[in-house]
Amino acid sequence: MFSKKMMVIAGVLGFVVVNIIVLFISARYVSSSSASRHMGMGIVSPLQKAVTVSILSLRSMWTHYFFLVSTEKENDSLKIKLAKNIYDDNQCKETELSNDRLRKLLDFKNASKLHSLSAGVIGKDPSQWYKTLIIDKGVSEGITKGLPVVVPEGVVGQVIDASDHYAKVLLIIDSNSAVDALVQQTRAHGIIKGHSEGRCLLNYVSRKETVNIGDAVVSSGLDGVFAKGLLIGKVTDIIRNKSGIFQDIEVSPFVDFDKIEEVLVVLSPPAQSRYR
Amino acid sequence: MNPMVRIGLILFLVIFQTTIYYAIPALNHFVDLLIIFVIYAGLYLPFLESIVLVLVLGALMDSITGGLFGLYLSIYFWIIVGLRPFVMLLNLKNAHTLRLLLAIAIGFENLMLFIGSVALKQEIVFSSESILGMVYQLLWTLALGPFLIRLLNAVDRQLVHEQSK
Repeated sequence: MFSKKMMVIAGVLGFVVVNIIVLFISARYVSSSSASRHMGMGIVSPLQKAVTVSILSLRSMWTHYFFLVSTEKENDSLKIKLAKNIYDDNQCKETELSNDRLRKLLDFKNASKLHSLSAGVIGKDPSQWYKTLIIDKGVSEGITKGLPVVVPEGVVGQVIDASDHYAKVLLIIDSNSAVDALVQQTRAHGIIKGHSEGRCLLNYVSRKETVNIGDAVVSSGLDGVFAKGLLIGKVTDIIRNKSGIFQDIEVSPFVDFDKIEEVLVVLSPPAQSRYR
Repeated sequence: MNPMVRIGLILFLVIFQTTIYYAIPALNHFVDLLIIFVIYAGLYLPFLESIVLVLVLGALMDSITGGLFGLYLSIYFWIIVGLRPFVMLLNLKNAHTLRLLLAIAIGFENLMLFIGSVALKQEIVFSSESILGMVYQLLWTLALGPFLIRLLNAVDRQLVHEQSK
């Protein structure tokens, strides 16, 4: 009834469908931290690191020695100061707001500083479909799956896989990412999810809550991953639909994900590294 | 070309695409070198060797990407299998034929990545930025792909010729 050619084509298509079903099943039930994955990362990542270090050295040589020697150095120093000031400013705001709310707690103790480890970014996800980075620190340096990753400007993402000396970080702009968050000024609560064009959405914020464009969004600490008060981004758009109980809030992250070179992996859980 | 040289080439392409492309913003949506290698392997290398090479490439990609493990393995494997009938039927010296094969392969790759995203319960967002990125990469690949495939083949033949001397 069917020609041999038809049978072959049907067979191949059948195998493709079986392959897709297996992928769906593995997505649900198989851990992403497999040995084969770590082996691949162990082969590629050292080379990625070597290439990235070479590129950064060349870039640094060019910018510091051949191009505007003094201006570039001054700019570097100012950028570091600015980043520190943003961090300090945010800490002050959070401290002020916390003091107002927690006035009754006279024995409120100073929270310890973040216990973190710095790591270099050595590669990015080659696919347009996923937003991840590879960093040059892994299990040997104390990094485990689930740890939060930050920079002075704000939240970067979360470690989703770690091999001996390298780890993979899921960025907050990936649609698989979710961070429990607060609008800093009004304390409206929601969940930050990755959206499009490097932006995020603050979901599940009640229509009753007042949110203004330009308001800062910070981590709430309720997800047990990110410490309370870490900067995430600022509100750039608010859509209040006629129906529904929530409003759609678009958030532009403070972190420029295309230019990250170093990150901090927070090693202690939020309970110990709480912000004031 | 020696199989180890080919594996070295695969490593070079993966690292080039994940580090150099990242470090130079102008290259962010440049030619997809990996799909070009897969098409080259499918068209010009012995079937079994091409299967082994793309499985190595797929495993490396799966280990550094944020998607499901096995997704790139599947994509590259089915592209190689799907290419076999074309090798016998089409005129591979024609650049338009190569462009057609590249376009089909890239389309299939993105379809599988889309399915992979659905499998991860990912909220699928078709942003203008990512669509433009894919379009730019497709156009660059179609423009330079035939040249790069032939370049790979020419280098390969030259190396084989020198080894046989």
